[in-house]
Amino acid sequence: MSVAMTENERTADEHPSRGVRAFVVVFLTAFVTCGLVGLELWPLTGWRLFSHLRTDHQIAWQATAVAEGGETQIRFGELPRAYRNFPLVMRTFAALPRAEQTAACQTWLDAARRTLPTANGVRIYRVDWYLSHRHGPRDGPPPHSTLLLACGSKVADAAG
Amino acid sequence: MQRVERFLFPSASAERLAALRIGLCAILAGRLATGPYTELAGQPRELFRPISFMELLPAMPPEPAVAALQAIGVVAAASAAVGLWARVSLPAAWACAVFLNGMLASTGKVVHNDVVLLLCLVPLLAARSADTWSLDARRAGRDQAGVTSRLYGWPLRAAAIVVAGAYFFAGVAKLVNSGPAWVTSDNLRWALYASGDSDLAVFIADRPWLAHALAAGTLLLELGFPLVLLWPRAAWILVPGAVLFHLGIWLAMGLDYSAQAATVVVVFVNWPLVVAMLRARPRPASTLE
Repeated sequence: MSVAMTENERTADEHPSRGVRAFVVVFLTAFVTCGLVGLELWPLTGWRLFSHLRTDHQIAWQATAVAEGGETQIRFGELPRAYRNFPLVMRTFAALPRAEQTAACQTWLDAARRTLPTANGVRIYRVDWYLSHRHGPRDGPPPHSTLLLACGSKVADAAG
Repeated sequence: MQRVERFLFPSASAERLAALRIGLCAILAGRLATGPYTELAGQPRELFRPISFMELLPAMPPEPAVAALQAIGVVAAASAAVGLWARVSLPAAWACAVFLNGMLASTGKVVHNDVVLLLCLVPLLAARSADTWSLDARRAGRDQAGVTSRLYGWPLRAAAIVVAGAYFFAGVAKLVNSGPAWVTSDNLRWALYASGDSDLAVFIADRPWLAHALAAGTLLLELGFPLVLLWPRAAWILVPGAVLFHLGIWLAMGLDYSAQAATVVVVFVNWPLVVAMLRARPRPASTLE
């Protein structure tokens, strides 16, 4: 590298190679394209962070472990982290083939047995609720649950 | 074309680029050391929701493999930060980090928390970032301290474009998907109410004027961030603004974007100048005795 020296600093006149220039152009083009088009090629991303409108209406999912004594809500936050993505899995659950839905449900049953060994089934509910039921004017309708799926030895038929 | 060339490949000092390497790799080492990767290892395959390159795997990798990758990643990132075998250690740290964060993003939701950090490190993979302020330069006896070159400027500019673009595209996505209603509707109020019951979230959501003002401020910050590329002094407003923005999100919604906030600070602060100012400070009387 040729270096021009001054008292305290030097300036090198070396330029980035063609390979480096191509690398920069390709990387930034991919970054900008994903950002503009909304492509998800993780770690390149479309940056959709809270970009869709939130409304009063909320959809949540709830899973209960079924045992002789009745139903007990499965608290996924208290299970190992590997099982805590229940609400995320449920976002696309309806699009899964029935066999995959049942397999996932069976996995949650196995997890539920960690805290409730007598559990013989799992029921999954969709819960429609309104933030205004809890906040602000508190005039929203109360939560409403719909049974989506059941799995296990004695509860599978209950979901229809 | 020459203006684009000068914009993408400006001159900078070796120290400025070294500071970027040290800062980003230090953040990366911290994130890799504390990430919950092994807790996801061995997840039942029925719950595995792979994205991107993770789709090549049938399930989350087993715990021993994940623990090994995490250990290699931490050591490599720390080595890169001090400039030890940086040509190898930095790419190794980055590869481990991309894979481990790919695991976190394969649970059913695209995870953005460390993406800006990972993308800002990409230019360093091909840069001479350890020509000074590094063990490599010291061992080789070729320390380039004081040298200014276009070899050192482009990674800084690319990282700045990534940061500015990340905020800008996040703002664009809000406008494309929601339009002005992202600010004018009760969108942010509902988002805050839905995020939990933190005192700050409820305080803001209970005051519509405040929620609208913060929503407008968010869009202004995100869409205005590229100004820093054209007018560097805008960093004096935008960088503290971004840090406060992420602090507020953490306090109100519990979302940890500390890696992104720290990355913004590392990229836009002129660290060699900070070091020079600290060195120039008069010694306290007690150290003269």
